[in-house]
Amino acid sequence: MRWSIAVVAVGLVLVVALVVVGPRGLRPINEDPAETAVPVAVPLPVLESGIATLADIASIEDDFSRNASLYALIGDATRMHIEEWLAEVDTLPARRHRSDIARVLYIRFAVLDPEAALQHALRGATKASWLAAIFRTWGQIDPDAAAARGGTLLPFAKAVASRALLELDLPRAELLALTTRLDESPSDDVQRHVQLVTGKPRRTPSEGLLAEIEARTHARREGESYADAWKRAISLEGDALVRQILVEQTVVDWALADPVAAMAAVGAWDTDEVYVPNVAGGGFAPNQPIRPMLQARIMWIWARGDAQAAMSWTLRQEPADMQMHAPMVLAALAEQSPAEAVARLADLPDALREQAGGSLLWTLARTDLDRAMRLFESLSVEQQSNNAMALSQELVSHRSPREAVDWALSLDRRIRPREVAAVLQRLYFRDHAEALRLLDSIEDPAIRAAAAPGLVPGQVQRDAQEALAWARNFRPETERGNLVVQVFHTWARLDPGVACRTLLETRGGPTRDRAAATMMANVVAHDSRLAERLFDSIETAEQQAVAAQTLYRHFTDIGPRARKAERYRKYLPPEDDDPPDEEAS
Amino acid sequence: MTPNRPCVDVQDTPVGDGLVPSRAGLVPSRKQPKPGAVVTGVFVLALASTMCIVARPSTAASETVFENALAEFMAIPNRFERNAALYRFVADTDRRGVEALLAALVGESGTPQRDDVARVLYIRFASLEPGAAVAHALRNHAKSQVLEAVFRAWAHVDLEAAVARASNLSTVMKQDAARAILDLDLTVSQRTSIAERLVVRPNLVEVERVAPPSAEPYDQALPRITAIEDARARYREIVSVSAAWAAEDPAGALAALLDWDGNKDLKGLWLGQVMDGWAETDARGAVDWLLAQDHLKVASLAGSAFAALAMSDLAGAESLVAALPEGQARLQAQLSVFVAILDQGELDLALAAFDELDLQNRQRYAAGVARRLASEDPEWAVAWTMELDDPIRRSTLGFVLAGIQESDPVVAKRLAEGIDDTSLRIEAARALVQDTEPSDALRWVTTLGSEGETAPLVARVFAIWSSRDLPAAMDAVMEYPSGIVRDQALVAMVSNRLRLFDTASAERLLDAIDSPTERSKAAAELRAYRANTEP
Repeated sequence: MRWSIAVVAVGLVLVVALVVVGPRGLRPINEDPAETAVPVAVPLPVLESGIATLADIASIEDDFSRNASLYALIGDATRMHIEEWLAEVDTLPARRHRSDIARVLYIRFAVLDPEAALQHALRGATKASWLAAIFRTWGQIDPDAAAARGGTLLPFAKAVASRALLELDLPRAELLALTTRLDESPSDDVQRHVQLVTGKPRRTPSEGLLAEIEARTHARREGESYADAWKRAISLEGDALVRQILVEQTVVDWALADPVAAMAAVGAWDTDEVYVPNVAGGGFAPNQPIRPMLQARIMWIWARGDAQAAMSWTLRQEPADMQMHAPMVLAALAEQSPAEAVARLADLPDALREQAGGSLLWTLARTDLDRAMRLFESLSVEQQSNNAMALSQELVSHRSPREAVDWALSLDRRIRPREVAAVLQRLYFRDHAEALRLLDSIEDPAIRAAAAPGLVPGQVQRDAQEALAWARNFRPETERGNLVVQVFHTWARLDPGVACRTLLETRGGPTRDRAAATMMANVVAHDSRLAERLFDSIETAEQQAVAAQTLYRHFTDIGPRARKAERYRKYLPPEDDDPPDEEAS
Repeated sequence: MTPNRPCVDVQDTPVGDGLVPSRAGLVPSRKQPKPGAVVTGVFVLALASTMCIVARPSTAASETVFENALAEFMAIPNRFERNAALYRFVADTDRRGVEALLAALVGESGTPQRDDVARVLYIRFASLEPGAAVAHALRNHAKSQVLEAVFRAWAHVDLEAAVARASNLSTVMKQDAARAILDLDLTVSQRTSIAERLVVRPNLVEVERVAPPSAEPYDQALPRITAIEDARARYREIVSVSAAWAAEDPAGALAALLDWDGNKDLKGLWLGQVMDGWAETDARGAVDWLLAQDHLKVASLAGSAFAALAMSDLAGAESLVAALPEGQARLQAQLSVFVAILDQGELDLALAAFDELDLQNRQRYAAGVARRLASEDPEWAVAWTMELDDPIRRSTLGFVLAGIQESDPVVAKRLAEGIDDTSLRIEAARALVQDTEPSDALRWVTTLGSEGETAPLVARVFAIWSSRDLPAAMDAVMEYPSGIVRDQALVAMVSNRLRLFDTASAERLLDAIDSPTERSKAAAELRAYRANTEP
């Protein structure tokens, strides 16, 4: 036996030696002798010494053996060789592991030229595992360069690159530096602007991912009870986002095993922490306390697994808790069984039923739109008003534009104008011409008049001149003036110079005066001389007074010019007739 | 069987730059190996291994030996060569040997190489016993790249078993497994079914294609892609093709797009994508191109071009903003430069830059800047806001205080109380009553000024109260001293109920109003509501 092992081992040595010193290209790979010495899960094919090809290696199902052979084959291959083999991969028989051969080839490619490897991988239908392999390799050679390049990729590819780099076992400070590199791309500009407008410091995508990776290192250990993991999670010190992710992950798994215990633990957690929304979410919404957010997650998971038990538990809670949890249970139920969800509304106390019905619409509209429309009809006008958007967005997405508008036109007259306007606005973003046609087809002039203003911003953004022509030809005629004023108002926000010059070329009259007064704030901020010319074009005293207020304030507070301020002060009504500051000059 | 760990007790016998014999055995050298040295070393390693097998096939591996060996492997900087050497090193290692090596790995200090070594060891482990490999990884090395490697290996040989095991993992680990399994070459139905079982999106590992298979002329690509009906597919294609154009000839692409007379909505998307791509790689080139264009036509592109330039050359970007004529392009460019300054985190500098913005941009972004300040120092934020010109100050103050209230309601109220100007103080308080318990809010607002000055605030509190809890609000308003303040509150409550389509309550509230003037206001509103909504 010992001798037979020795023979096998010598065979292995010879194979390896041939691999190492033999001619490039085709390398003799025969894993069989080596593999017979160990208990291998899957029998390996016999590769004849000296003629093993990529195709031979590709026939090996077992990752370890295939990779080992592949590493030997491509050991010191040039870039050209690698590219030839990558081309050959596509011609290999389609098997589950075919693309994994390319992954190993890309590791070699990345060692030779990471940027070229990346370019090559991105050229075709790339795989996440290829990009991860390239960036993991690149990150070990030059993490900074890898992160800088990873940050320029399109979102999905960037996410893969970011994960590969941030999972490198590097000191935290270095990982944080990588997040900065990853997120410094101007393509994240929208996020920066949202942050600027809301004033809320927000984690960048890579910072969020790093927190996620860090939270993972504290995840529930094998054999640890959920309760102990929970205690550890809420006691974790340091980065609040890491703690939040860990707490959330722990509670999600606990909810799958024992939702009642998870709910109790969250309920007993004495904390005033707020929930940090993910990098994309939140917006202007105020920060929410973390506990109800976690409870909602538990309830959602529970209800998806066992809606009946979740509902029974919910119905035994105090009214305030019942009010919080019932919509979540019904929403989960509506995903699986819309009819059952609607039926269970009857189990709720009267005081909660209406509101829960309204909440239910948001899920039901996605899973069973017809049923949602019937439920909507049964609700009070207040609930209809609060939840009409749930239906309108689905109708616009999944029914014909005509059906969506007809539905809005069929609503209670108290909410009809608003909902028709909302449907048309949604349609406008999908097909502006169709939206305008449908608006024109509405018989009731009051509804048309109510809906048209909502389309003005889109119209002006598309083409301000066309928007102006549309407003001037609008029916009913009585609304034309208002729409023209709105067009100029929107236009002046986007391009005050051109808007102002266009207005000055139009015929004088009350509409032009109103438009001029409405535009004044934007025009004066852009060009005060142009604003004064605009003011001079106003003929009616009422609009002169409105416009003069803006100019007076501008020449008093913002760009102080005493003589000009004095000129516009004379147009102000008596209560605003304050003299300008003495120091203004 | 133990790893192909050498057992040749020969010291100082050079056999290659990559691996050297030592008392511990033949292990990789601490010296950085030259290319090719590692494979030579592996050859020697294999030879030594054979001798070892012949001589002492059952030698127990000491942890120190493994640790040394692993440390040497980790010293190989070239990932490919390190992996190649490792694959050979453990080629005939049995489960016990792999576990011993993994145990030794735990003691190694954190380096990017450590996880890589673990991955190869676990791939070997998975090759032997995938289920045991998963269990071992969960206990000892539950990093995502390790789990991905194990599940990938398992799924290649037994997809069903791998998915079944993955579906029993915790949520986070399940995602790791899903990433590996869904990356396999699967059919659509397999992918959908597996994603469902693992509770993840089927496109979890989807990655954008960057370039079309072959260069496609603009006049062919634009109508082809415009005709794609599926909006998501169309978007993906635009992203992909525009990235390729941006890489090849961004100026030509932008010129072609500006001349394109097709769908205007898509045109904006195309232009933005190409400019983003160009600015990423050549911000200065993109800005120079922009400056040479009709600024009215390219205004929407100025933001991303200048944002990119500001990141690499802030001073250059600042000076070039002035080269743009007044208008949208300059506003966008100016804002991008400002955001870059703000991103640097030096708020004093950012505030100085804010003062240089056009009025329109100051109006748009004052509230955001103030909130950013508030996250650092609420008092500073309010003081800064108070220094702004009206009307920006007036519109910003409430927003800032509401932001402060989210984290510290007491401080928010104190800061509002400290505003000297009564009308500003009252306006600021309007933002705070929304999220305050109504009876507390009522007590607080009456302390902010005279009865007449605070009457609108009192009315607002009652209006908010009535939408949350009408009976309690009605009781409270009737307990409030009669007079003009209460009547104004009742008028506000009438308006509120009408917004909730509750004419019955509105009528009851109307009946409670004493003042003929206020009563007629409320009655007029009720009449108007009925005229508009009732047949």
